[in-house]
Amino acid sequence: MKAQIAWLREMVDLEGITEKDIIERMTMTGTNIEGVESVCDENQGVIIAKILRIRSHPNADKLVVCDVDTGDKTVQVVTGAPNVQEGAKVLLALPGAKLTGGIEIQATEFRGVHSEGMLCSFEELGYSKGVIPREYTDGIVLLPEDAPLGQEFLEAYGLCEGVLEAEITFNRPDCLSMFGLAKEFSATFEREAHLLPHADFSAFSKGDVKVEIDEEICPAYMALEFEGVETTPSPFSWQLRLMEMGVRPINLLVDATNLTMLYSGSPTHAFDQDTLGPDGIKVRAARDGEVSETLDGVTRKLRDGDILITNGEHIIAIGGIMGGKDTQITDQTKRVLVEFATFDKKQIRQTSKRLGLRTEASSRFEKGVESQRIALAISVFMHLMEGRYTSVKLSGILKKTERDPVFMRYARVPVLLGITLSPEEIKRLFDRIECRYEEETRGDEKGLLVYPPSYRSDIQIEADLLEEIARLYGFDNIPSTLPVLNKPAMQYDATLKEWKLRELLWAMGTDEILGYSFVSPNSVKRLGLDDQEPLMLLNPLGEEFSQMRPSLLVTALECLLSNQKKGAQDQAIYEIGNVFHREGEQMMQEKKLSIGMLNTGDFYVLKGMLETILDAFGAKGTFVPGTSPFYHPVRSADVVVDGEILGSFGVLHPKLASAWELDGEVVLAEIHLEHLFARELPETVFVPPSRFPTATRDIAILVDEKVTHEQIVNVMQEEGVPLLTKVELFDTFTHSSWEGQKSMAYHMTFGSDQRTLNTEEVEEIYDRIYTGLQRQLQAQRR
Amino acid sequence: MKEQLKEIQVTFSQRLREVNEMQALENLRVEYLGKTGVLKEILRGMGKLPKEERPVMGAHANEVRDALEEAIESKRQELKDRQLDAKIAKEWIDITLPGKKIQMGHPHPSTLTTRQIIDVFHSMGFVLEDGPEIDTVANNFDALNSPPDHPSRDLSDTFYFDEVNLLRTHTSPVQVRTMMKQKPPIRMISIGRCFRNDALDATHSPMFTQCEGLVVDEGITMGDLKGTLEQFVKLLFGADTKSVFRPHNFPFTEPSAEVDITCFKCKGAGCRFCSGSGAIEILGCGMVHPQVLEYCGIDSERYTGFAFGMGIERVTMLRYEIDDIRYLFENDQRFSRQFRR
Repeated sequence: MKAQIAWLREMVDLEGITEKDIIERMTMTGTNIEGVESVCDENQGVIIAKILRIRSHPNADKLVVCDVDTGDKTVQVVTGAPNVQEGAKVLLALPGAKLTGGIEIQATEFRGVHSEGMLCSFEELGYSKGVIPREYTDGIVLLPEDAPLGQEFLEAYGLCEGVLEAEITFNRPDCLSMFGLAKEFSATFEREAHLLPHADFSAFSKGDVKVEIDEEICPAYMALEFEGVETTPSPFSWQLRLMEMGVRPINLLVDATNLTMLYSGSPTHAFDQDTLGPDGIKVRAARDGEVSETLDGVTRKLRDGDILITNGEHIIAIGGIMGGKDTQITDQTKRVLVEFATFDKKQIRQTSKRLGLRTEASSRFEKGVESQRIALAISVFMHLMEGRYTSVKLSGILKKTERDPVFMRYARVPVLLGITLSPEEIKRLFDRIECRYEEETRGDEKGLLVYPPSYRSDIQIEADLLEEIARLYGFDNIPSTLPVLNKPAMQYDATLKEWKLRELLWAMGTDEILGYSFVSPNSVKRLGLDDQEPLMLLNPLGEEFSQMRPSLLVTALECLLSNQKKGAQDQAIYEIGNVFHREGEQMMQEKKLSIGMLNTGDFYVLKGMLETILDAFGAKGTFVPGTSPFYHPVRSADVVVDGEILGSFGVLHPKLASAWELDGEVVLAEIHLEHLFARELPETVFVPPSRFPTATRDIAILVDEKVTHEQIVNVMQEEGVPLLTKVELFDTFTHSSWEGQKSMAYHMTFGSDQRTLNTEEVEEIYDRIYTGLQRQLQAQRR
Repeated sequence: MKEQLKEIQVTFSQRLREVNEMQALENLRVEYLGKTGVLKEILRGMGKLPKEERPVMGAHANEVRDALEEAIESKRQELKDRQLDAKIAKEWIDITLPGKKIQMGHPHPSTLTTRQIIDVFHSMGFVLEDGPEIDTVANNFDALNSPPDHPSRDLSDTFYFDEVNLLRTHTSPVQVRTMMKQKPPIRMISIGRCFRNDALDATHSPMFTQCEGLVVDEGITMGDLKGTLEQFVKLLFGADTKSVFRPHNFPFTEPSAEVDITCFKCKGAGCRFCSGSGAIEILGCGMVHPQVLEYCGIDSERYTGFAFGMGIERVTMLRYEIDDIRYLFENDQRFSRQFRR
């Protein structure tokens, strides 16, 4: 909300209060001042001058030469402005003056004619094109005749104080008006506000217009009928004020409606009454398929529920959003009907959003305009129109709204805010926001029964009043304390485990990545995942963000690919994140870990990493041939822990590798974390190392190439109990001439924690192991 | 004979000086001290000496022998040292060649921020709670006193799956879940991914990470809210960090506040990170709205509480001077590898 400081000073006594005070103190009572802008920041030395004579330029058709009275001398100025005229008061930037954009005016020559300065437009003063009156958009500013000759323009018209940009929170739509802000200034600085009273309807002649409303969508509708008005430009001071407030001046009537809205917060609309017909005003909900041309010349398609203002037959406005083209004020308008109404905020928001049409009016109505504001708006409008009409009448419907008072217990102030205030101090704070109150005791609790002013629709319950006390007392005056810890802090178990996992992954050289939870369905397809029930967003940002990812591998592959394209040939990455899928009506999500490696490791490196992780979590994993379709059919495995598949890993399936256009060796893993984290972390129990020496023997055998390491070790352990303490593979070898055979070589360690083994014992076990391998796996010694 | 010995010593010394390799030294040793060496030859002539001179001369000859042996030994050591020096000299390596590093992984910067925040809150007695990314309209909005017509519920603001399920827009639903399952005292934080229907640009992302906290107990006041958060920002950003609590409005807290802290880059002097203001807006907070407590089955007469929230990305971006939020989700290796644990 913009607020011209000069206007605020007219409404509230702010004597001695500086811009700095305003920013600091208003922010601390809840109106965050986001900035202050002033045309004076960049403009200097622009004076009010008068055109005495205009002569043609000897060398240019489009330029003229003017003699201009600056108040103490006459200077010659060349201009190309089409609207320059003799006798007009204008804005003159003399040499040395500064204009918006860092321009400094100098005396110069235009096509051989000397020019002592420049005649200025509003745009040159820094006003945006959108707020400049149409008659001035292509020309210089023409001031009223009474403009004080020779004075600095911005100072003479009080434009140097600037305009505040105030952030208005959702609960305070009443502050989307100068009235509401003035009340806040008054409460903050404890200064008197001088505001117009709400209109007394009994003082008006009763109008002839029959008003029919649907209270659901339009709780109140009042109409002022003026006769004998003239559509002239509004006074220059109105125009300047509107421009400062960011609204383009149009004509007297429209400007009056806009100033009324800015002052009161209640948007109003003026119709040419002669275009309305005899049947009065009827407010109703639209039906699908109706259309209406709004005053911006666009034909709008309407839907069920849109709020329409009609004359009983035709649509004359889209209620609360924009008036119709056929009924707008023109230069010929003599009789005017001005609408003062409130509308259902939810419907206004929906319609405005759907039509893509957000106006000053709709942006207020969608936040809620409290109906008693209409009486204020009527008062403001009448004040502006004083002496500018021959007769006025009032009709319409505005019900008095009664609000329940709110009971606030004194005892809740220290409980919630941690401060102790006396009843008198509390009352003084409520006085500042114009709440009436009376002492009341309920049960054994003393407090105040508070009647908030009608415009404070945000005050509904006790907590709302406590908030008022806190902000007026000042958050910075509330002493800081620390809450008593009634329960020791327990570290969340899964967090500990997640950090443990992250530390391991860090130590193993993987970089952490972070992917969006939603991905492109195309990427899911490219992963070869046939998701029968994809979990799709109803309103995604775009196709590429539309499906909840069913696997972290989508992100991993996208990451490997995008980095490879940028030249990263070696990558090792991991991510901890959720994956999603649908199970009937249920939407499931589960935390997983993914690891991806490009040219930094093979199947066995990745397996080793997983084994390290399992070890750290005290889990014993078995590795069985992989079942997941993402991987190379015979170079992948599933990790089984406690009979459940914990995850899968392996070499990326060659088909996927080419579909993803990845060059190099890619291995991937995806692991369920909930199952892993559900395990108790292993406790270390110390076992004293044996004091007796161990014996080692090596064995090298030839077996069929499909015999696995696991099979061999199983036989060795079976035969070697209890003295075989360790088996280590140290070599595997095949030779082309061996035809389906391979050599496997192992170090075996024998020992006992009771005694030293003798050679005969060791030889005996060694033979037993070898015989076992021979018998069970048809192994031959090499 | 004495003269002979003397001469042997002199010649030996001369010869020894000329020796500069092991084999020559050995040859010299054999020539003088060997079984048929010069010294042995002399000693053989001892028999010709008068009986009384023999012991004297014998002792003298032994002294000479010891001296020669010692000289040879010392020469041997000298040659060994010289050999080693020569060997060492040949073993020169370029110590400026790169070391064989063990490649550590790199954490995501947001994870670093998250870790630090968890540690700070843990030190203050908070536990971490987790919740789902897909949650319900009830948990995300209704329970949190969000008005039915609040714009944040719009399709243009929130991602929906259907009328009931959505992607949470903040981590507050975790607070709701915690309050529903657990009686006060409650002292928790939750950190997680949140989603809003914002197009991706330098300052917006449809996915972001939020950290929120909640304290509910008997006797919790707004003073406790201030004290706790003041302590938090000091622990996270430095002991000289000051906080300003500005009134604000959120549906789920009342009173509500936004917290500005002293800019940790310029210490309040004003720089480009704080747009010259010397302060950075970092937290939203407030006293839990009584309707939120009641919705979650907590007696708002007996218990009071406060809640707060902040954006992990915002803190991360400020701390590392990252000027575009997209870096945090692009997973570019050249970005990731700049962050160390």
